[in-house]
Amino acid sequence: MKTYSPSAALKKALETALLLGFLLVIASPVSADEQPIDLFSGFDDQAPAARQEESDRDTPSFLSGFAKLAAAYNTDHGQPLPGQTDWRGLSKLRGELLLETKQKLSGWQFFVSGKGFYDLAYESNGRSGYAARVLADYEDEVELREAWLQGALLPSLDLKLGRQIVAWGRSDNFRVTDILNPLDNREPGLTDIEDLRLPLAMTKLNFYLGDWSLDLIGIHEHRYDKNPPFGHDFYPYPVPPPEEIRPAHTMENTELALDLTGSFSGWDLSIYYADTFNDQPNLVPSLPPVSEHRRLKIFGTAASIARGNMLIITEAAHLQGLGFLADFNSDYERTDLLAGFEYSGFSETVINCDYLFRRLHGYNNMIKASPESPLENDEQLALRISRNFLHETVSLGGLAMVFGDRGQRGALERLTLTYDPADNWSITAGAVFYESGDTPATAIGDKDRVFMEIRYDF
Amino acid sequence: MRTFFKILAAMVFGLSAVTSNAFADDPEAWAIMEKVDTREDGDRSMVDMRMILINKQGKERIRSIRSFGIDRGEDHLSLMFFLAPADVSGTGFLTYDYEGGDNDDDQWLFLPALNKTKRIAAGDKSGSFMGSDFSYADLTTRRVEDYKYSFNEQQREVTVHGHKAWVINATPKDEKVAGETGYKRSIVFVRQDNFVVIRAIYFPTNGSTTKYYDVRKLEQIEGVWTGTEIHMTTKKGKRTVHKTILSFNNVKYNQDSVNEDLFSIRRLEKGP
Repeated sequence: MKTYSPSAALKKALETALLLGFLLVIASPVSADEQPIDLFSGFDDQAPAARQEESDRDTPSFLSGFAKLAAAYNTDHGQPLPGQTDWRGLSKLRGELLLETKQKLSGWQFFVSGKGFYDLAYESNGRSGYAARVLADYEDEVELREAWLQGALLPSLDLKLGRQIVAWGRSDNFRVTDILNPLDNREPGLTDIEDLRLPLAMTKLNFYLGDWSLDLIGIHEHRYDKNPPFGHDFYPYPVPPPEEIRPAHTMENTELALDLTGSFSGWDLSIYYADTFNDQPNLVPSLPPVSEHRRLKIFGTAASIARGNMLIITEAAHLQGLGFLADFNSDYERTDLLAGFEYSGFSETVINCDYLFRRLHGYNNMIKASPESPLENDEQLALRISRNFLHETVSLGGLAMVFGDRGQRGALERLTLTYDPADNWSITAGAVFYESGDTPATAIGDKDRVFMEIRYDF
Repeated sequence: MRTFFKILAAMVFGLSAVTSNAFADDPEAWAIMEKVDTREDGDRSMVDMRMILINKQGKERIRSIRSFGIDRGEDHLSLMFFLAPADVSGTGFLTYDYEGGDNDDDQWLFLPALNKTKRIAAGDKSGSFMGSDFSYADLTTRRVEDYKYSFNEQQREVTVHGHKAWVINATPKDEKVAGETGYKRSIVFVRQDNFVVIRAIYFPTNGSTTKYYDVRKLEQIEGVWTGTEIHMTTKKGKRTVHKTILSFNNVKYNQDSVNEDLFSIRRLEKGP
């Protein structure tokens, strides 16, 4: 098993970024002198005309979605201790199906989607080797995802009612203001970004006035992050988590959120406010130990500015109501600041980099020793590069994330190569490398995986 | 006035990072291109577009788009929804294409799978549009005054599909324009009876390819000359590297439902 080394984690992340950059550079088209030819003869007068008989393919079908076969293989595990699950080798062989439909009637639209999967890896490896909770969470699942009704109540007022996703903020890498929907964290670094957010039942009113829009949101469903259970490869502790107490679905527990956004030529600005329950439960000093979700207030802002080939983004959030076991009765505050850019000046290439700084106010020796291991100042860095080849039939992507200014909270690198052999078909292969940090929660250095997906969209 | 169709036709104003003395401004050629620019091209339009992408092995991929366009003064607004293939269905693309000043165009992309609208840096338009042989630059307006024009030194006029056409060289006046569009120069063929660009040859700033633009079907719809089938072929020497056939169906102009409210993030997020 890998041991923590800040410099090693940082070095590995940088090496991955350099490797990706090298691959992208050597794949760049090479200029060559124009060859003298008869330019006017280059038009193809014999080319067949476009076929019109296929126009029925444009008609949206009643049901759409995708079917996917996904496999993952652990490459870095050591031999398990007696009685522990053997996570070496095949860790996923999952068939997945997503179905969705969108229907319109008199200016209103209704959307519903559902997803299910079954993972053959557990049967293949022997189900008796896994904890019951691991099988319950990872072997199969059927769930309703989004289900909402949307329409205009007035010319400048829309209503969207039902289970939905509301994505705040500008960053694709870190969540500073994007705090409304919980996340599926069961496979860190492996989950598709479109599956990452978990929809919540909400009532959303959108007012529009000129360049501005105001969203008023009531969140009725208390649904929290899906995390790896005790006994799973990605669960880092030797003991199970305490029982989690969730807020009752009452009127007074309804969460509120507000988003004021202005979009202008070259730039935009959002101002956010949310009064929600923290997605991460706090440990409560009790016997037996339990955890609960504390009420959290968030004041945030986000902006993006486009100049030439550069998109500059920034986010800021101030959180009130954070709690720690060692000083349970006190509320702590934290300020998160993010700055990033996305550069698209190289052909078919997008380079994205985000830097996040978090400061915990009122930091003291009491919470320093708390089991949550909070830091007074925390820094995170993400570098993402993607490039398309061969008329977008092939795409190469790389992501490196470093947690802590020297990687002391771990690091992650991900490489993916996607090939579209035909319309609606895609094949993705890749690898995720994890570097351990200096806390038990970040001891993930032996989880490296290679993975492959075959997907058909319809 | 400019619409999406004129935008496609206007892609002929290809450019040159290396401005050549061989392509000095010719008043007569300039006057022709001004007429191309001011030609009536319809407004408040809606159309279903189909792109067939053909690689050098002859294998085809198909993209379908529903597109709306409107003029706002000198500026042009467009809204596109991708209908196929299935993995991008529902994705929306909103563009505010500014004619005057130094403002970059505004572009927003809506990704339904993430339920997120994202601003796009629109400085570089040389990238491929959805993997086709058309670039983003080919889908936005080019200012006629950004180029120098001269008659082609080999052939001043030719006959194309039975119609006489002028052959005009177009080069960018500065490197910025060349860099943004990805073309160092172009040769355009302007039909003499209606000032429609029916053919063009583009020379990309990087690589050794040449792109051939060919309007294969030209119809008068509601009085507006409209290219309803356009071929763009990328060649290396005489060899075809890749080709895109862009066809237009259900072309309509002057639609009451196509008003400025349509070209908003609100509408973008509601989908086609």
